[in-house]
Amino acid sequence: MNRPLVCVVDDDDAVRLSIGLLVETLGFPVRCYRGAVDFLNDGEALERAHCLVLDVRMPGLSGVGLQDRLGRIGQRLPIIFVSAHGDVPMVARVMREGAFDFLQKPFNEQVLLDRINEAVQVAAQRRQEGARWTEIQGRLDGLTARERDVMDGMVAGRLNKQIAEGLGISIKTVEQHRARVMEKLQVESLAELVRLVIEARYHAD
Amino acid sequence: MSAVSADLAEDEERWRLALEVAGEGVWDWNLHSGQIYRSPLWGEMLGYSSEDSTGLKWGELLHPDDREEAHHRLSACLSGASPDFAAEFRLLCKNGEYRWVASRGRVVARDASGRPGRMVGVYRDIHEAHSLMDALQASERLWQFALEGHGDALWDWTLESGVINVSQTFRAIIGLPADRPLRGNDIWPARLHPDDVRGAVAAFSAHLVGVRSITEVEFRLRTEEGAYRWVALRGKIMERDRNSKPLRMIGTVRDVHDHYLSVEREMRQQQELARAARLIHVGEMASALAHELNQPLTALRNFSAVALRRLDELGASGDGIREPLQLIAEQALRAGEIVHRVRGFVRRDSLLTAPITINDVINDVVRFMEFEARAHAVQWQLALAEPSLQVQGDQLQLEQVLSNLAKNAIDAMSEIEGERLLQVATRLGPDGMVEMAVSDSGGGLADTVRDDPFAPFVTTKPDGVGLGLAICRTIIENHGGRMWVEKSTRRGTTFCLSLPQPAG
Repeated sequence: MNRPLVCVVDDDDAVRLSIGLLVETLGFPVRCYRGAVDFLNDGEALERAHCLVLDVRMPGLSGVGLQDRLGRIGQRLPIIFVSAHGDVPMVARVMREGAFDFLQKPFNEQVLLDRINEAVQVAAQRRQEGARWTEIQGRLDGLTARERDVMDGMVAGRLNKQIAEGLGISIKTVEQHRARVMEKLQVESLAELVRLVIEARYHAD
Repeated sequence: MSAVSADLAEDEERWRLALEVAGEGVWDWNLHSGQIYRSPLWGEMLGYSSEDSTGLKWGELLHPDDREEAHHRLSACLSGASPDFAAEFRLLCKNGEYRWVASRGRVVARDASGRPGRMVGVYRDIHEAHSLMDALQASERLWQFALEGHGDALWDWTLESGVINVSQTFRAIIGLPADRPLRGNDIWPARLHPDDVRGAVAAFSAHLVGVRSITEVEFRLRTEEGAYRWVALRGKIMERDRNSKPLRMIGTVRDVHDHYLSVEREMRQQQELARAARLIHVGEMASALAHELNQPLTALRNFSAVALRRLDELGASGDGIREPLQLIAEQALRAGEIVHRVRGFVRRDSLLTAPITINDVINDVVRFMEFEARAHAVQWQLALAEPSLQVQGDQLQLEQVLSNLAKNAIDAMSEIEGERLLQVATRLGPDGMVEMAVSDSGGGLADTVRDDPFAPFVTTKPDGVGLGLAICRTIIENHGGRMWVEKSTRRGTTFCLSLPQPAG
């Protein structure tokens, strides 16, 4: 599996290079971009990036503008803003929009590296969770309509008899469906099943 | 020689003698041979012996200014256009001076074609008469000049003795009683404002040596009550001696006091405005500078951090480099904070003060300026109150103020031969404020900054912008303290500042 990629966008050559070298000391692969649009055009990076170190004020599309674009395409990449002009309204805005952090230039590089590490972990976790939910969704999608009805009854806490009556089928058939649901969703107990389904519904929302 | 011609010659001789006795010389010019006879009086008049005078040529002795006119008149006579020759001109004497001479003559012989063969005439020394005329004309010019300045006060100044006479209007301006006699130099330089002496002397000199055709200057004169009034003076040399040395000056004086004050007030207002405009620019400049500086500082910090991390991979062999590299990284952040604070300062952000141990501030600055002090052979001398006094302040800003003062002190001593001492002393002032004094043993403040060393954009440093002390003072004043120059002599300068103690 690919190691997590960190991306840096800053129009100042020296700053960009120095942050790139710093991030490399963490052992992460790094890609650096002179402008926000260059980053948006790198589809592979968009796919793989676990953290974006982003300058606020740049010619062309600004850092704040890039954050906005990423939000609209559903890319929930952790962004660490770095700026030589940190004024309060700007910091408030990017943080409200979900920025991971905001650092005033020049910054203590250890703070940046720590925050990158955290961001990468958060991103990895999000990706893992995302993958897990995709997989669970696949399992749920593998259920037949009747199996899904039985599962809904189980999650609602009904007894087999109640489910059988509700669906107009035999208790035995309910038991058969019930075993198939447990098997398809790869759960061992009713409690586990309930948690999985509730979490899946929550995540789907 | 025939008897007739001998008689004639005798006749001529008789007339010549008669004329010479009457104080007139004669001349007799043979145009064919070019020879000319002149009475001995001619040479005597110009200061030559009779032997010397024979080779003298009239045309060469003529004053350049008179040459054209004299030649013109002579030609007119020779051609017959005018029956007589009559001219007044100056001739060069043996001693180098010019003497006014009048000459009259007539062509007495022409050949058949009308060409002149002989011309005779008389000449007369008219120098004394001419000098009288000059004086008369000068007196006339004098009155013309006085009348030009209609309504102005008049003065008449004899340069050698310094004696000055002034009109009643003049006396009224300075409140001088009409009957009070004036002695030499009583008006100037005696009543001149000390600050205006230099300008007045320059204006008079420029006219006296001939650079200016007139003396024209404004200065303040002390009145009888002791106040000063602005006057505008115009003057002109009216008499010179033979060597054209000025003897007497005459001129006018006008009271321009009220006019001058309004002009001065306007000028001061304009200066204030210009200064305010520059201060507004400081805000913009600081903001722009903050951005421009923060970028390289970020890179500097990051690169040194990268280097430190790579050094770690080398193990113990990199130990000697680690510490200076760490200092570089620290200083980059410190510079960033200063930039940030300067920006905050011009944005009038509120100050973040806390109780601070003043000796810590001083020791920190001494530590990070150690190298610079040593490079300029400057010795630190600390006289700090123990235990350390506490102040309410922003440590970083106070470090900035002290390092600025120390930097100035080191610069002030860069040229001196003797011992270079940078003293920092603290004490509790009489008003309960903590006082800090920073002294150098340099040559004192330059004249250009002595009046107000804190004024922004005034600097003696070739590459300076003149903001250092201005920012320092504002920082201290924002702390509720004061900053001032305790002393500045040729043996050194002491800057002082006071800061409040922590409350409670």
